[in-house]
Amino acid sequence: MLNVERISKTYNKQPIFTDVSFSIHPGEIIGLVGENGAGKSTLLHVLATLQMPTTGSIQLYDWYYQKHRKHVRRHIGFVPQDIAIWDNFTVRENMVFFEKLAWKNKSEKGLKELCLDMNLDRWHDKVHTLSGGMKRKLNLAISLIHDPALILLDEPTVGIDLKSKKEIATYLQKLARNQQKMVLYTSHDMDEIKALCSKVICIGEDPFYRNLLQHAGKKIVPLNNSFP
Amino acid sequence: MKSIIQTRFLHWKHHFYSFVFWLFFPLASVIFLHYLLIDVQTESKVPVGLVVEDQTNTAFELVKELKQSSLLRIYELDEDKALQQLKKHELDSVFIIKDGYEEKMHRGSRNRLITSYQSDLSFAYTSVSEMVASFVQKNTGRIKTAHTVLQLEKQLTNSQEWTKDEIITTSKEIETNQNLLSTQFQYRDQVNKREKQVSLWNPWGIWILFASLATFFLFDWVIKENNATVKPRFVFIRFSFKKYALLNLTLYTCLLLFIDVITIFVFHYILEILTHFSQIIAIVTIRMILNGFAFLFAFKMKRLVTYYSLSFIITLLLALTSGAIIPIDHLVKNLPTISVIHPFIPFLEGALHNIWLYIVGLLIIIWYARREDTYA
Repeated sequence: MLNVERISKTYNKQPIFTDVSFSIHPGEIIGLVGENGAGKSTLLHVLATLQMPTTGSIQLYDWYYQKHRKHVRRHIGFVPQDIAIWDNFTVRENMVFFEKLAWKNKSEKGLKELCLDMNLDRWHDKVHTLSGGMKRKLNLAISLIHDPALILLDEPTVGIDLKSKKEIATYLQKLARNQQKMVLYTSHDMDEIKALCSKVICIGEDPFYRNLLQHAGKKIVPLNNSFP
Repeated sequence: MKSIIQTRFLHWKHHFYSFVFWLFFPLASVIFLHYLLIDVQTESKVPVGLVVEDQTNTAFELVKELKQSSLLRIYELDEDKALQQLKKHELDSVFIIKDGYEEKMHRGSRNRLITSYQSDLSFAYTSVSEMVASFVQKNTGRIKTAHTVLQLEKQLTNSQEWTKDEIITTSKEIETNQNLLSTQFQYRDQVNKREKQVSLWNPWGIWILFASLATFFLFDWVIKENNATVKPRFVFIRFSFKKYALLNLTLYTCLLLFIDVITIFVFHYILEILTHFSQIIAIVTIRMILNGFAFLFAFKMKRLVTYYSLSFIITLLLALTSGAIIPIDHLVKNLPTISVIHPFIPFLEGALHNIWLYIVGLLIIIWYARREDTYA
């Protein structure tokens, strides 16, 4: 379980977000929405240990981020918004490259199955010949090689076709349900958020997203005092 | 380290030919230049025809001496063929060692020992004929000396213990052993410094020029990977990007040291250059300096084009100021510190210590210890 308790982040004395508290349970997919500049990416980066919170504490199972940062990282699967793969490699080479450097070993058969589960079947094709959707799937697959407990996705479906979006969403739902993974998902696509996430975190002061989701009957996770 | 090697192989696979090219570029370039120089030297020698009518040891000795000259390309031919080639201007001149050459020399007759021919296009006839004359004079001088010694022996001891051949052989030995043709003057209070051999062809000097350029090109992976989109992933894997880069630097250093060992062997067998222990230490040192410097330099670079351009400039500047290509004796005399601060000079002199090894080592430690702003 991920417990976030009253964390704040400031940059040059400018608050990005303040007093944020929430928790994610195994098997849950939580959406993170908000207008541009609201602090979604910063919050995601803090949860991914790429940045430290200014105040507050975060706990993943028994490990505190401040104390056990390096250990926590072994259990995080971070899917960056920019496609982070070797463009001149094949799908197989990309998977093998990151498996060799990963915390947990996986056989080549296991790596191939991971890709096939997402309908990424062009195992020997070079990445630069793949469609945007295929590249996004590979971007996700690489982040899952070490079998992380917490999966953080920063707009993982931006700019791809509807079919690929659905395939990624289906895969994430299956992953959370069958393997009890905790998933935090940011997106500007409200249809995707509504279809995929069981709860949604709204960040920022603009009530637009909160109203939209409340109308759709989604459960909004209160973040801090300003959003009761 | 195993996983670093495996992942590096995945990268090498994609630019295998260029990778192998830069690995062997310094060695291949020096060998190529060596053979090119031999060809140029052979082509620039004066073609001279030699007709040996007198089949005696003294005549053969003259032929041998002429063949040993680095300025002449000697063709042994019969008279007709030699003159025919001279007419076609394929030969610069023709020299005929006439029958009875040895006999005439022993009789003390120095006239008409050799007949020479030149054409209207002979450009080196005068010099070559003077060279031939000097060899002949040297031989006649030896024979004359032998005659005098024998006469003196007869007059003074009334016996004949030495033969003419023995006296000639002994005089040759004394000439070689005492190095009579090389004399050096110096003041009594001056340290006996042997003059440095100035050689225009210094294979290790040429090698260092190509090796530094190749090292820069081999380390372009640092820029490509340091600026790649995959860099944030290193936070979630076993190695931080710095550790990954440092292990790759170690791998590249081991590989390039192996190539350097091959270079030493090839230089030994093809160029006949003996590498002493101090030179091996100097090679290992300069390899670590080159790799460390290229690695740190590439880390500071963002654009490949700028990196390649600056690599060319740095290599050229270092090579020119090291004396590897052009002599810099005057520069070193006026600015002695250059031999201390220049990274190539200790290598070229086979020195055991190179200050740049410590500087580069220290810079790598500082680089590794410095906290990164992001992904810490």
